[in-house]
Amino acid sequence: MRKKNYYSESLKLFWKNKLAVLSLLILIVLVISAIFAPVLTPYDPNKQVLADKLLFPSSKHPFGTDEFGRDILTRCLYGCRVSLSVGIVSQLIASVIGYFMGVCAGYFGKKTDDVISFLIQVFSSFPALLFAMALMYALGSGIMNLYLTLGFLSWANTARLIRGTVLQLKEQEYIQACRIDGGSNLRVILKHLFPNCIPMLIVSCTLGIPSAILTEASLSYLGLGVPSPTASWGSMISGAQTFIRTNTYYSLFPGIFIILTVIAFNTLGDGLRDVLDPKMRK
Amino acid sequence: MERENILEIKDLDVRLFTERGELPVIDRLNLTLRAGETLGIVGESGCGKSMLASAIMGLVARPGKVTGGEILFGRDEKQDLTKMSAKELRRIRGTGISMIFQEPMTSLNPLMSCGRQIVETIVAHEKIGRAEAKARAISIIRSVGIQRPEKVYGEVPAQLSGGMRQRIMIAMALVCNPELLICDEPTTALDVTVQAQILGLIRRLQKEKKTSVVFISHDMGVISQMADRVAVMYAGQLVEYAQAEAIFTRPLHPYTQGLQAAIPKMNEKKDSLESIPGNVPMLYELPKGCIFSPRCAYATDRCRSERPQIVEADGHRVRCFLYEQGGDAQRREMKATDTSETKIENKKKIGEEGEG
Amino acid sequence: MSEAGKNQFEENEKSERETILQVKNLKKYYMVGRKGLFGEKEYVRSVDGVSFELHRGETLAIVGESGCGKSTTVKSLLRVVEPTDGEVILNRQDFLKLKGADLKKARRNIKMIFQDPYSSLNPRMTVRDIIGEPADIEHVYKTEEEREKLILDTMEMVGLNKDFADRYPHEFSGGQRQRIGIARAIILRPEIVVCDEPVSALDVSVQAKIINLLKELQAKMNISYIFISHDLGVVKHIADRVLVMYQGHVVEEGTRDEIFENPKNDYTKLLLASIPEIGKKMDFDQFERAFQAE
Repeated sequence: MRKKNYYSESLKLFWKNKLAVLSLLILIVLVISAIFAPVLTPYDPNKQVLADKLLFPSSKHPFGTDEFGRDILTRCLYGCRVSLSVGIVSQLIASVIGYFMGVCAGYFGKKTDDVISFLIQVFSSFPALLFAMALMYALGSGIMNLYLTLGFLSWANTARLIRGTVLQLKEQEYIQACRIDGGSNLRVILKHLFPNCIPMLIVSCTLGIPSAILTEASLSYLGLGVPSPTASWGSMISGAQTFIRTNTYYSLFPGIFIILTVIAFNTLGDGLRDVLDPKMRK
Repeated sequence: MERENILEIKDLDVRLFTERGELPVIDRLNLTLRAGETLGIVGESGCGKSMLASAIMGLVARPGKVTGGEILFGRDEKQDLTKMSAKELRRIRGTGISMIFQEPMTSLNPLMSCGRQIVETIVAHEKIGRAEAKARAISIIRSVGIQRPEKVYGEVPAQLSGGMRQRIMIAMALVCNPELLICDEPTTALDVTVQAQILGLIRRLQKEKKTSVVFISHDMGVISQMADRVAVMYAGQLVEYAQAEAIFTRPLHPYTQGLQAAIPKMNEKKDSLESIPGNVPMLYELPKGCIFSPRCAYATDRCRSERPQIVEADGHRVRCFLYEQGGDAQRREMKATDTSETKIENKKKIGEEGEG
Repeated sequence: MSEAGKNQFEENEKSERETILQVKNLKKYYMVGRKGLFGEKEYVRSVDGVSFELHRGETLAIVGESGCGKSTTVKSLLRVVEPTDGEVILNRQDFLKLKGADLKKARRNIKMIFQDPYSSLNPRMTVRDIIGEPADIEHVYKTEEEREKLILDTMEMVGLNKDFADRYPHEFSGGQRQRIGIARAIILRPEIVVCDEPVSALDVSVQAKIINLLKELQAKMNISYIFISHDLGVVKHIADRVLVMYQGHVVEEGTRDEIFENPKNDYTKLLLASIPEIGKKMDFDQFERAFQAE
């Protein structure tokens, strides 16, 4: 009869989802190669070797080289650092803002809810990319600004999700019980609401990462992301477009990295939602 | 006068196919219902009583599956419901067998007026004009005790109270004059005063229309008002089956006895209520021997290692080793001699582990 | 009778009648809308002028059908919802007017047991933390050991195995969960416990055990219960006095025997007649007549 606690039970169910586990493996490999990029390749990502420019893939340069003779594989791995960190950090920022806003809206209700719900509406009706472009123009390119811009852009989704969850949780009798015992609002929010929101936060965070990565790629493609010569998948594709007819591989490889990462995060997110969201559970 | 059987359930097996393996929700169940009578089925949560209703209606859905036995329905030519095609079952639902549920809101369409829904039911089963169907719908709404049927005809379920909804549900179930009505906890969600109304209504209509009824409830009091015969179920098995009066005045199975003792009675004052130690077992951890043995005060080593079969005793059919040689006398004798000691010993033993 | 004996007798008599909670003219109206855009506000009078007294060590049952206001009454007096009007006198103070630290202190004395053993326990907390929470809020212990001892003692009182302290609520059956809820309610040794349909979600065989436990705790700790139930069989078993509510009003109040043996109010009579009892055939016609009369 003994059952384990919620998370170990979820983990057991998670291992049964082959696709999600595969996605997790791919992401782990990506993270490791991003961290150990300097060890994995002998090349400097930014050093120009004009003699070697636009080489086709070979044993020396498995993905070929770009117009400045830089190894594309090396740049893809370094670009991984930018993309993954932007995705993860921006979503952590979004989660913090989103949780705080969502809890306030759902728990306190009334005027607070009206104001926050209005803000959520406003933020969800902006065209995200345009807004990001404007912000990046204002702040200037740079990785810190990317984190902030993308995080600030995507809190609304998380907040809406958390608000809904909190509205449901608020009706639970254990919240009433805590209030009857004289528990403060802070206690209810931290001890009762937060632990019950964590699964939702994990899911929304995982599902938010791919869109942050895509926006980052778009911004970098437009020259508003990380400043050159720092490698990023988006800026690589941007540089490659002149050579798309002659050196297709050049745009192909960063493109594959983007697609692979986005699909992996989406699949992982779906898998996590299946096991963590009580409504999705049998 | 012996009446003919309208429903015969023979060796019915229903299993749930889950990650924990095949679970016996209904384990070789045998029951019969005579035409015009009410069969009461009583048991606690998880005893399989609702699954039985689904099995009779042919509504067992995955992960459940009927894995054996037959459900014979009809007066002269009996048909096996478990072997029918989906189309045949649809025809029989409504005209042959109908069902009312605990929560009418889940089975009524919230967007369609009550009257329309009844008309749709009639038209689906009979070749009949719309105008005629409407007249019949209004007359059936009147017959379930609603005074202004024309008004209620045009209302959607949300406009009605719980009791009124259950009346509409009953009207809908009976409009095609089914021979068998299955009531699955029809009054559990209602207040006692409304419950009394609905129970009275079901009894009156049953008499008028000569319908046979399978009445499922967890409430022994309700069952005692409604049933001619009573089947007591426990963890998927039939443990006792007898005439209603016999079940309530002389329960034989220790579970039936315990269940009755646990109900607070209106006409007696006691300091503490009798209770059954332990909990209803989960289907994936059924004990090896008699399924009630871990909670039974009379359990012996044999009970813990061997499954008892159903035996006849005193006009009851009961699944217990105490009655293997028949009669009540046998039981009393056993209680008087060695069992009284085992009983105390057992109670102690269960008391230590049992928490509820 | 000697003088001392007489005094003793009077003393007993007095303590038996000691009123520990007094509810005066409690009202809770919910606004449902307005007549027109700026017209008069329209209200549902969920609780409309309920008054009663609770004596030390007794069980006062509130019965009535769903929507009669019995749940709203106790939720208002516990301030889970803020009542529209009325007074709740607890320890010579009006509980409804208390604020901040005074309110917190008063809350120590009045606790609640909920109906649903599933939604009343936080699924992400261990049994230890659930039971210990009221103690955590009130800071009644000085050391971790004191807290642990308090929790384990309380678990023992409600018949929970101490080894269960590290488990989570979903590992337990309905009856055991209700025991956890009871442990949480009594850990600070309150004088009053409000029980809102504490056994109606449980199976019959388990229900009996919980009722016995409640009675046992009352005898041991001299708790006063306000016991809400729609099951009159249970009420008759546990109550000393009974309050019958109908449409927000108290229609009849009396001792258990008065209500059950000699009900005066028509609604009380109907309520009693509608209990399906084993071995007593019901007169169904009167209910049909009552329904037609509505």
